[in-house]
This record gives sequence, structure tokens and C-alpha cells, in this order.
Amino acid sequence: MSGLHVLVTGGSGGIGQGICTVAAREGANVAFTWHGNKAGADATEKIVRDLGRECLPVQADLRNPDEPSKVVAAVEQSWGAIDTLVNNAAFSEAVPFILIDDKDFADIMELNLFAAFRMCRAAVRGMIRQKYGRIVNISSITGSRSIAGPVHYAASKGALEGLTRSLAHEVGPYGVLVNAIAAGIFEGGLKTTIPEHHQKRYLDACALSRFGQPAECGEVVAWLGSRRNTYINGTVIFLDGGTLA
Amino acid sequence: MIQLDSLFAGPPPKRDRDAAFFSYTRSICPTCKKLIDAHIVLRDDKVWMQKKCPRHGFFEVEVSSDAEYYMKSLSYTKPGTMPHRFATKVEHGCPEDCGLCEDHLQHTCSPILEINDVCDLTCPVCIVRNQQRYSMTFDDFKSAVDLLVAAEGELPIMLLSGGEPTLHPQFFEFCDYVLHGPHEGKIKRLLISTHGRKIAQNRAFAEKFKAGGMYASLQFDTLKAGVYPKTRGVELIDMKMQCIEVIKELDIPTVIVPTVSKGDNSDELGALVEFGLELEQCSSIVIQPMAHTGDGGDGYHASPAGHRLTMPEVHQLIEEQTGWFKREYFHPVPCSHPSCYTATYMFRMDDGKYKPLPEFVNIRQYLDAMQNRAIIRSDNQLEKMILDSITNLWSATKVGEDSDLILASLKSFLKDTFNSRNPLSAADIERRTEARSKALFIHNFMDPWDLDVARLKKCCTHYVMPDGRLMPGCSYNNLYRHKDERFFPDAEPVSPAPVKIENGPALVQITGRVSQ
Repeated sequence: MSGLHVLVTGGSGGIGQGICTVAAREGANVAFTWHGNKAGADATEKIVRDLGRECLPVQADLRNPDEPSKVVAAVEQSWGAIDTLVNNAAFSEAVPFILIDDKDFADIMELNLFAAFRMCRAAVRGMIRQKYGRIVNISSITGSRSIAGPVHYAASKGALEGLTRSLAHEVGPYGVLVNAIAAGIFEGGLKTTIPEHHQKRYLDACALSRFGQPAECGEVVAWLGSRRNTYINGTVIFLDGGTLA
Repeated sequence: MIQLDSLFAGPPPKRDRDAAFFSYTRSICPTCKKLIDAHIVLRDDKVWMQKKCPRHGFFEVEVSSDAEYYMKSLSYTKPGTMPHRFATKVEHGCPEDCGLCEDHLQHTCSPILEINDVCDLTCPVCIVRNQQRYSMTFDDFKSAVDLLVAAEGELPIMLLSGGEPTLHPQFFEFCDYVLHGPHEGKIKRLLISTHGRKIAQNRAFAEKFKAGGMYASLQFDTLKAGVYPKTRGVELIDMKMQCIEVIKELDIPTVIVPTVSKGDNSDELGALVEFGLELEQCSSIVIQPMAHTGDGGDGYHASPAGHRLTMPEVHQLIEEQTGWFKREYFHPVPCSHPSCYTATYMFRMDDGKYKPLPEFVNIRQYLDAMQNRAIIRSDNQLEKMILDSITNLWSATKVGEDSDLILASLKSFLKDTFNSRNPLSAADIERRTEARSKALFIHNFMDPWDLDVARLKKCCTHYVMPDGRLMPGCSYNNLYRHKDERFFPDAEPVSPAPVKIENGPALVQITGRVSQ
């Protein structure tokens, strides 16, 4: 990723921080968005700078429809182009289906799906212009498998995977490759929204008998989002230690 | 002179016994403590224990004020859980093999570790026999905790007691070993049984207590002046309320523990329950009907008969005094004998009021979720119970007036607790769950009057001995405590002595410090 300009949404903690760390280690300059976690954002910025890379933290509420384009514009203004976009920002809450109301559903879609859509739309213009771009959407194993998980969260991730496949087909001819990672349970990720006994069931089913580490997601993102990826496109890669794959 | 009538009268008519036999058990003589046979009998819709000591005669004690409840409660039973290790062989029979012997029917849910017998109070209701000279050494403490963890693996709670444990010079070192030592994470909650004086009056101690992560298990018998002189020997009401203020200020998690004696403070049961529900820091209320044992208890009432409270009486008094907390909410905790523990778990609604779970969950699932443990935890059974109750409330054609409030409250709890916008650690989730729920327990200790070996067999409240044994609480209090060489170095040894299992936990030499 040497010399690439990478933009990661939700980079202040968990998987996002792992992605920023690996990207910087691989030579990329890293911009990332954060919302409420100032301490986490500061930590990520320090990690990236300590690795000798440029860093551009951008505070933004991506649920606001205007924000994604502003974020992309800010990064492009600073660095000229975005080579790799990682749509990682997401949230989840453990609410049973019958208690999910319209507002809950819309709220989760706004960040997990619409924000990713708007980020793609804003960033893809510059990528097509430069005939090069990589987009990696962080999805979840709930997006395409029937496992215990909040319905609105699973729906948002399923939709994100559909977006990934279709967008890959549309922009691939212009040098922009789009893929997704279906993440299992990761330390620091949405693990805290999963009751402990469900976490145990995951571990029991996981061939590696452990949760993923944020940097392990970062490694896959770094490859998919780098120049080395020239032919993987429109694919959802399961990253779950062999739990459902 | 010959009475002709007597020559022709038949034999005198046979009389029935005054009570219907229900079951046979073993107990002890309240006077000499010898093991004797006992009968559980029914009379006047109540349940009684009758027993006869060859030397000291006949004894009868009421064990349940409600025969129907008593019978029904016996059906609330589940297979016990085995500990990883037993310490003693089945040699002499219960209760002379403690413990735990291989025949004991339940593992340890609530271990109690007495770290001293020094106390600055001499409470008439105290169930122990403080001699004011024993302080456990750190080595003995570590051994006891190590062996407890070896026997149980993980424990939901552990209670440090005494004496007054906060007076132990190494109190905080002991706590640190339990919570942050080699077994960190294995003992989920460390409760300190205390009168509360150091928390109330020593700010630095209270702050350190809070920082240490311990729970105060606060002896709290009354809300009014004039009762503590009877139950605790001196007036403590101001100190107790001062302690509550510090608990509120420092946000110290607390268990409210009233010891209740009929006629002394039984009129306050409802008020004490309401007080515990109001106190945000209170995670549970444990009501202990007074057991007449220990140095204080033995002599508290000349005759304990009029002062005993049975489990159904406590339920009834709470219902009568609160006006809303129905006796039907109470169910025996299946991990212990039904006559030892009953409980109700409650959930705080969005309007701030607590609603007992039995009001809105399937009662069979509820009992399963309570199985073999003292503290309700987030697991498959609990989740299934909650999800089923949500689904049933939501799908019911006839919606109760509270249904919307219950559903909204459960949802707000889930959104607050399992939400990635505010990620919580597992410990924080447990704390938040605890903050949203409360438990009300009735813990009925036995004394020499009502000691029932059948209840001992399934006891899950165990004293942790420094030599690695675990002694069922009422067995220890009634039969072993006064011969424990830590407290009574001159007492004759227990005879017959329990026989240890050769390959069981290594029983260590007791090295407790004894000061004269």
C-alpha cells in the first residue's frame, strides 16, 4: 500500500483501528472518520503517525446525509485522491425483531448501509477519474447466514453485500474493485453487543476457538485494498476463523 | 373396697396422636446437641418438627406456618450439581462427615469465609461465637481460596465474614487476592458481611472499599430507633443511615441483610423491602429470620418459640405490609433445600418501579433459570425466558395494562446494554443488568431447635475451612463451630472426626493466629 491514500470510516476503535494500523504499517497514508470516541481517535492518529505516515482524522456523523461527501471532499482536498475506501463504520444493538420499530430500523440502515452507499458514491468519482480504486466494505457473517443476530443489523449487512456485488460489476471496468469482508466476532468490534453465552457458542463453533483480532481484519483489508489485488472483485470473503465458512 | 364399675369397664379408649406423621429425619437435642430422631408432622395446617432426647425430653418446633405451601415447595427440586472435588468420605453419616462428603447433594453456591472472630459489637442476634482472638493468616486465606476454586472452578459470589471482617488488619490484601490474584475473574462478586461502621465513619476506608470492587453485605435490621438495642445490643440507627449515605455517595454496591425476629422487627419487613428497592446501590435484599444459635442467639429469647418466623410467615408479612408484593412471587431457590431459600427476582421498569419477574414470565422457565445458583445471570435459559415473555406479551390478543410498559422497559434495557455506540465490557454488562434488576431472598438458617438433616444434605451455603473442607452452614454453626480450634483452641476435638479422602484436596495445617 506504499504511497496509497486510504480512507477508513469508523477508525477510532476496534476493527477500524486495526485496519488503520495495518494500512499505515504497509505504507499508506491514512484518513479516518470518528464520531464520539475522541480518545480512540487520538490513539489511532498516534499509531499512524508513529509509523511515519500522514494521518487525517475527520470527525463526522455519517448518519447525516451531507457528511459523507464532505468527508471525501476534505480528504481529496488534502491529498488529491482517495485510492482505497474502507466502509467500516457500523453499529448494532441486541433488540428482538418484534421490538424493532421503524425508527430503530431506519437508524441502523442510515449508518450501516446509507452511509456506506454515500461514501462509495462520493469516492468513486475520483477513483473512476484516476482509473484506479479499491473499496472494501466491512460486512458480517449475519449478512448472509442464518445465525442469532439482530434482524435490522443483519438486513443492513445483507444489503451492503448486495451493494458490493452490484457496484463491483458496474465500476470494475473503470479500475475500481469492490469487495466485502464478512467478519465474525472480533475483539473490540461489535462483540460487546453480543450476550456472553452467544459469544461462547461462536467460540465453540469456531475452528480456531477464538475471536478475531482487529489487525487480522486489517491484514485482509490491506491486501484487498492494495495494488496487489487485481482480480478479486465483487466477492464477500468470510473472515471468521472457520466458523461458518 | 372393690369398685364394681372398674371390673366391668373395658380398657381405656385409644387416643390418636395429636398430629399426622409426614416424614422422618434426624435432628439434634437443643440442650445437649446429640443427634436424635425427628418427625415432621402436620397439625392445624402447619408443619412441626417433633423430637425426643433420651436425656432432655420432648421438643416441638413449628417449621412452616403453611402446610400447603410446605408440601408444594418440596416439588421445587432439581438434581444437584457436583463439585469438582469432595473432601471427606461417607463414614459416620450426615452430619458427622462434613465436608463436603461424597454424599452431599449440592455444590457450593455461596461460600462464606470467616477471616476473624474479632468484632466491636456483641449482637444478641449473632449466629457465631466471637472469642475476640482469631485473625486468619494470609497463608491460610490463600489456601482456603485456592482449595475453594479447585473444588468449584468458578463461583458467582463469595462472602467474607467474621467477626467483623473489616477489622482484620489485612482486609484489603485478602480482598485483592480474591479479585485480582491468581484466580482473577473466577469469583465474580466478593461480598463483605459488615455492620458498616468503618464504611460510615472512615472515609479513606470507604473509598478504598469502593475502589476494591467489593460489595457491602450490610446488616440492616430496622429503619427506626429502638430496635437495634434489642437486635444488636446498642443503638446503631444513626450509624447505619450514615453508612447508607456513604454507600449512595460512593456508589458502593450493597446487599441489604435484615435479621428479623418476630415481635422485634417483623413489623418492618415491608418497609425494609421498599427501602432496598428504593436504594439504587442495593442489588439484593436478603432477609434472614433469626436463628437461635451462636453465643448471642442461644440466649436472646428465653424461649425462642414465640419469636420464630417461618418462610411462609415472612412471605405473608411482606404481602400484608407492602400491599403489592404478593406471596406467590416467592419460589424456593432450587439449588438449596426448599425450606432454606426462597427468592423473587425483579426488573426495574422505565417508570422506576420494580416488577417481579413471575408477573410476566413463564414460571417454569423462571424456575429453570434459577436452577442451582444464587444469582441470576445472562445465559441461554434467561434469554429464552425473556424472549418468550416478550413474544407472548406482544402477541397476546388481550393486552394487559402493563404490557406496553414491560415491553418498552425490556427494549430500553437491551438497547442500553448491548449497543455498540456505548460498548460495555462483560463486567459492565453484568453490573448494568444487576442495576436494572434486584433479588429478594429469604434465607432461613437453622438452629438446634429446627435443625433438619434432610435440609443439610442439600445445603449450598458453605463455610470455607482453611484446611480445604467446606462445611454446610447450619451444620457448622450447630455442630462444629464450638469445636473449631481456630476459635476454641481448648475445645475437645470433633468426635467422631470426619475422614478425609486420601486423594482429595490437600488438607493444610491450620496456622491461624491466636491472640490472648
